[in-house]
Amino acid sequence: MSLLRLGWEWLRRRLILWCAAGGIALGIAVLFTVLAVFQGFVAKLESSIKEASGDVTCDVLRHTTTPQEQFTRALESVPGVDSIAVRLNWFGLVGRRGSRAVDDPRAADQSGLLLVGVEGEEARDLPARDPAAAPDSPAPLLMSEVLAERFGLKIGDSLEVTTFRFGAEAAQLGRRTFVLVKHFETERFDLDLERAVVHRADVAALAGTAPDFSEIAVHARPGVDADELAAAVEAAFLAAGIPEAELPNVKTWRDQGGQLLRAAEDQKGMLGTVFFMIVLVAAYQLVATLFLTVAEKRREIGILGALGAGPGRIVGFFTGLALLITLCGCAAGLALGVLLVENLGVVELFLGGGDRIFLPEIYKLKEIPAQVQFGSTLLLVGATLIAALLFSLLPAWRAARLPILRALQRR
Amino acid sequence: MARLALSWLFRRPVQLLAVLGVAIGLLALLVVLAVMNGLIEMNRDGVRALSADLHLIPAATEAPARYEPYGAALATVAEVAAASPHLVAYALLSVPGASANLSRTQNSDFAQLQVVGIDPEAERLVTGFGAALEKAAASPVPDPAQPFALPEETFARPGVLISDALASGIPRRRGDPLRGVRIELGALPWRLPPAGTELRPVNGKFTIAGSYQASDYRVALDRVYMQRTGENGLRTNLLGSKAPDFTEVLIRLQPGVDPEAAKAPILAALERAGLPPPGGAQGGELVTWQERNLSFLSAIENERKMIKLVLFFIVIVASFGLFAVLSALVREKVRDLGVLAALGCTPLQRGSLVLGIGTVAAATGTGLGLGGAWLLVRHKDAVNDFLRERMGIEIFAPDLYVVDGLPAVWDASAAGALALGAFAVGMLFAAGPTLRAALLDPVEALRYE
Amino acid sequence: MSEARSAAPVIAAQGLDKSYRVGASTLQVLKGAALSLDAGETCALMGSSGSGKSTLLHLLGLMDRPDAGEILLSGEAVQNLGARRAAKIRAARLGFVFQQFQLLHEISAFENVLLPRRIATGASWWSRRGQEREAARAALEAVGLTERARHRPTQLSGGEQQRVAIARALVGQPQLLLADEPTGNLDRRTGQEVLELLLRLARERGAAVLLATHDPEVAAACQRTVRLREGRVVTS
Repeated sequence: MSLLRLGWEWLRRRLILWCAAGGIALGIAVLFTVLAVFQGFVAKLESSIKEASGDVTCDVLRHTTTPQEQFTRALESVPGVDSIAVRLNWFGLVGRRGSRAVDDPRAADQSGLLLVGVEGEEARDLPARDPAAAPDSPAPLLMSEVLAERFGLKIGDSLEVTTFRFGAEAAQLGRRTFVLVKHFETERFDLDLERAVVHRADVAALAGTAPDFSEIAVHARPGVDADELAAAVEAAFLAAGIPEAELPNVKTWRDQGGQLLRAAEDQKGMLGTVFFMIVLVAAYQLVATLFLTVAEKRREIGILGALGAGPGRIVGFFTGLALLITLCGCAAGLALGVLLVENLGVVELFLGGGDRIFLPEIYKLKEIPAQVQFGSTLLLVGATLIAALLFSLLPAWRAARLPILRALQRR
Repeated sequence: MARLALSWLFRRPVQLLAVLGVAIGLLALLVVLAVMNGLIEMNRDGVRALSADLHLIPAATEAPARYEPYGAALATVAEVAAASPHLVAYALLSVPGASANLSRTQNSDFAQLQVVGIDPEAERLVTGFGAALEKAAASPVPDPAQPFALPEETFARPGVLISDALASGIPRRRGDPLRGVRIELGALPWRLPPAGTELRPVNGKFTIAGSYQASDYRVALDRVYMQRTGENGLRTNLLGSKAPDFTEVLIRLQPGVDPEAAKAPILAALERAGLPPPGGAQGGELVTWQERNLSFLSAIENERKMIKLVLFFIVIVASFGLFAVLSALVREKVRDLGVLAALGCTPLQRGSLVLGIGTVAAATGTGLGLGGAWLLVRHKDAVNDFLRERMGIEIFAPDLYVVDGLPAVWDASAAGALALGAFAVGMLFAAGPTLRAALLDPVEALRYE
Repeated sequence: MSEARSAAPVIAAQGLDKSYRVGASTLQVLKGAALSLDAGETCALMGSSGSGKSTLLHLLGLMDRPDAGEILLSGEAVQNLGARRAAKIRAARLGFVFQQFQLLHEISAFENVLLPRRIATGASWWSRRGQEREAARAALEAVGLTERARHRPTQLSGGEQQRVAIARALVGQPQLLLADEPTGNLDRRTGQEVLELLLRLARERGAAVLLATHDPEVAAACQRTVRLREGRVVTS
């Protein structure tokens, strides 16, 4: 029977030590849940940005004369590139009320819509384009269900998009009818509300742009860092002889995420710090409880000393006890945290007093995201154990310093 | 007995740790909430700055809406201090020579502008427009009294004000050209034409007259101000003669007037003037700025509720310590409690002894926590400076948060309620040991070793 | 043990002084006390209440330090050892039996007896684990409490608790056993039984015994008796 066993028996029998463990459990559960939500938020943002724009995005300049093939050949030579998608994005107006940006009771208005013109694999959900079809015949369009609902569109309905054509000093209009053929859904509420997917050639015909591509989305191979890929892409463009004045604006997904991503990461740091205070207060309570235990168990400490346990062993015993309590608290906290993360909807309604807190309109995601990362969890438990260890040194040292005789005499 | 209780409580310094724990827990909760309050106030102020007490959107009529009769009607309402008409329309932004253009994939709202036509003097009386001009950083106007005035060398183009964020994002400064293109519907407002209707473009060319500080981040990237009417007005330059000359009126009320109470006299004034009442079959509305921004304000209020509730766990955890102290005290003093019982002390008296100790401990901890938090919030700037200069900790990253120092607002009633809650929780945790002391068997207690 | 070491007394104390502060004044408990014990010898330490019996026992047990004087344990000077070294010696070479038994109530009788072995061996106890458990079992069997091994102290009578304490004191094969009024909390008959057990087991293991008592009948069971009077050991 080691001294750890004695510690376990003390823990088993004393409610106040379980209270200390309970406090730690509460703190761990809250922090685990908050970290999981923010990790999920950042991860969802990352995946949605990569899905929408690739790991690296090349924004092609309006005035570029370099042909598309030169760009794509240069990109294909970069080892870290897994796939590329060439798109033409153009903003159009729809003669119907709806959409997040302009559903405004003050103004009868056209609703803005970003047409994302795709081809190849990205256009797999669109019916194949008939090159022989008349230029003004209805073209297929994909739209999210939520946006279609706002426009009052069902599958098979048509939608007229008007935009001004590229390059004209006095604006000239282009107009085309599109037919909603299918719904799509991204992970982001705001992206679902702002865009529709069509064939690239149809956007080019509508907008009359040249070049007929405005961005190249580059997807990286697994394990390839986006910053390194961006640098390699820029180098590849230069090596391919593309004039400097026509070099695209190369951005990583982080640059695309911009302020939203930074704000999410910043909030994660802030809330993590704030809620870690619960753990610190719990660790502080652990100290208070250990001091009480030292006071109550003076006789036992005296016996251990009389039996030959030196100051080091006594300190080790109490820090071991603290770690034992903390481990129990962490285990219970993690279990509770997992339960909370699995039932975030219920938690949200409870915290909001019956109202939703996580509104898609504000937070841009449809559901509360959550992602448990093993590394963060390990860090959380590790930090708590270290805090408990450090905090417990003082009462442990106090116990070690107890004169044996006084302890045995309970004075 | 009170002396006995206090001597038991202060017998060992370690017991004061629990008191301190409650104080620390409550202090942490109140300080964080104060900072949260500050941020929320900042957000609300930001929204409020460009809003007014009441917003009136007129009911739809056959003829395009004209502001004059509305202005006259509002002038007859005693509760109304000032009114500012807005003409709101949307356009596509086109910036000659800029790389940020319609090809941007993630920021499609960057390409769409909300153009708000205003009367500058009226706007300054009703909203925080004047302050927004004075706080502008990117390209301030030289004379806020004439915000749309352009440099002399610019001609034939109306001046517009863009936000600091847009000015930095494009980037553009005072004197630079801006193109906003709108598609003329050829129809009356609020009734969109069926698909296939002939649409004509209206190509508006403007010059940037300066920038303003957009306190509401939601409008920061897409709101552009210009003159409402006149030669350089929005109506003339972008909407055409068939458009209304206003789409909304922002109303500032006299000091102390309740916005809800002011709605009835305003509606009555409109009726007297023969104007259709808003909110009926023809649409329109008369709402407060809170109702207008309900979704956003509810979201941030819910965040506060959530953080308050979660942080209250700190107090609960801290109260565990109080429970520990009292439990240990009762265990240690079992023999003394047995002696008191033998001397005739009733269970109620024994329980009161322990409860009294718990009350003193909880009250002391709560008081210390409340006082400490108040002091920290009162000297928040000194704390912020200390953290930033001595420890290199920036609580709010300046490029993400437009804050002045550390926003923190002390809500006395909320703090008091939370302190009371913390005290109540402490008392709740004292109940167990109290009952134990009251119900112990004197004979067993005297035998206790 | 070396021959030189086996010839020396197990414990030899000379000129021990010890005083305590009581309020504003100083109480001199021991003044030049001297005592020695050979291996296997049993000695009773008698004196009236407050004469310093327990103080002398605590000094010889390295639980306290004398103000002056020398203590040799098997020829090694131990009066001024640091807390760590003193603890190691207590664990390895000394055994204690207290009047109040001083057992740990949260663990069983067997675990109480095992405790000194766990403390003494420290690191790498795993390899010696089996031996120690066997030693504890044997010690409990020697005091006749094998069937009560799993019981906690609160479930045992006073006599049984003291027997567990004796087993705990002897499990490590100490050179010296110090007993402070071991029968003080027991009735006459139980006390006699416990005393006989203690002395027999110590003799069997070759441990020297110093037993503090105020009871002449207890003292008579030992080979020799010394008295403490006015801080000095007067009969030797």
